Amino acid sequence: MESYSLYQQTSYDENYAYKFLQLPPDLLAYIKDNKNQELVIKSSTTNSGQLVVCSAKKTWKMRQMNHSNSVLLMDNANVDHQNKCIKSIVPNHEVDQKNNLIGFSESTYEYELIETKGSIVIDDLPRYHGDELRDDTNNTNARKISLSELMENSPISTEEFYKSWYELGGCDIGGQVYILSVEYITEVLFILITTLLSQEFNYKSDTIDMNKIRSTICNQKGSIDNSVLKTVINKFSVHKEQGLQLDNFKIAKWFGINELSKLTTTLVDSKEFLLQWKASLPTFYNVSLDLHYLRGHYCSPIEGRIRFVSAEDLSPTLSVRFSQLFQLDKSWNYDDFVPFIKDFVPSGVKVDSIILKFGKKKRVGKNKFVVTPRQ
Amino acid sequence: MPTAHIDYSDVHRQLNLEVDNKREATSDDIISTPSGLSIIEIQGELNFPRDVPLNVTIDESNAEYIQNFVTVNDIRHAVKFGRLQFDEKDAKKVILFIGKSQRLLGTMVDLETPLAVLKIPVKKNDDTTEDTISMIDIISKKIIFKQRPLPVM
Repeated sequence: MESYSLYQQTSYDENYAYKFLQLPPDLLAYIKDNKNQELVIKSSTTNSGQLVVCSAKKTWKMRQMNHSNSVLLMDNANVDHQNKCIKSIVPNHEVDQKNNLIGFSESTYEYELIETKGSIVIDDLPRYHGDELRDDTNNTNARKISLSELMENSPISTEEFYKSWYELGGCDIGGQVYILSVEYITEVLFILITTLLSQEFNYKSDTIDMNKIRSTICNQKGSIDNSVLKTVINKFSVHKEQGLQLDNFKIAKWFGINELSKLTTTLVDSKEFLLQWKASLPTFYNVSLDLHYLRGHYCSPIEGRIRFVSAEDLSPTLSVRFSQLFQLDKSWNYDDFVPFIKDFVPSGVKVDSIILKFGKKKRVGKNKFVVTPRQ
Repeated sequence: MPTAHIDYSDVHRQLNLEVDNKREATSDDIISTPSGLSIIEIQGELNFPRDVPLNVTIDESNAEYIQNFVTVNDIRHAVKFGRLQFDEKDAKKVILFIGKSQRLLGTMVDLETPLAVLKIPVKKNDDTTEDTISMIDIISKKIIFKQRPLPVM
């Protein structure tokens, strides 16, 4: 077999740095299958130092993996040898031009890519209530940026961005981004469903005719902005082959949580609440309602009576979160309790393991369990 | 710089090139990618001389040392630090001879996750231009030397 002479440059190109990036199988396939598609490295403006790689559809977090080995990036002079000429610095000393590997960079780390869910930071974006007179939030310090700027500054891929953007209630009005307030979303959703029903729309099977609904709603006096309507439709629809269909479960849940959120201090009979919930929906919009839809938003310290619990106000630290939940109710129905903690359980750990760590799981019936404090 | 674009067009082309399976693999095919890049990993730190002995009077005592230095394309200086030889019986095994007294036994290993080589423009303080990062190659194997050096018998 042949042998190669190994050289290493004594100085490196000051105009370029060479870095290694691990390619997971899905990113490798994306590079192979897509020509000139989007591939970017983004740094979050809010979480400095956090870098992500985004394809058009996915996001990976970059982690720098340091090592103490000498890793040399070598260039084989046999490949494209016409452009590589090696000369000795000693006059009249010939150097073999064949089989030379020339190191032109060395590295002490490589980047590992971990698939992640991209995020959009909306905390400092202005809230939109549809009517400035009703705007009771302090928008003076809000970030005034365009949609493209926000997308560029968010560590998330384009496709994920739009999915999350509508979910967060984001819209673009006059070249500036806003987050729609919960009250305004509810108001627009109510108008949307009422308008659709007035057009003999079958909310269980028909697809939404965007142009028709836009011309009806957006052209009315005191009209709703086109971007707002688009956001609300996308937020409460499912994409089917034929087009967008109303997501009736999500709509029912939205109205339910909205109605439930009015019960922060008072306990209400669950049957009575179901009637209130039904009354909050547009007339003739008859979708099935079940208290189970609202799991993760209520507690039931007294059998048959419920009260709203704001999951956002609970601590993200599991031990504190458990204490807060046990302050609300000493004996939780297992199925009502799990939605409050499942998003905070570390990956690879079972929910029950976490419950047993911070509380107790007791059987109270054939298939019924409750979660209680340890003492 | 919140966003930097990666141009992967060269790599896309390379990945979609039809491989000629009839052609017998050469040493170059084994040791490097089609575009000529290889990774050599040696445990520990390698200390290369950074000062090139230019304008030094060559005599018997330093001739051998100075002959290790070369210029690449008349631009950069490089120093020869070893000779890599394939094992005659197993193409996955290699021996790296360093100087005349030491040798390292190494192997050619497939990388669990292929490595993209990114060529990143280094920004100067006053430079405000938006440069694109180029993905110049994807490397799927490397030569690794895990053992301590052995004496040359």
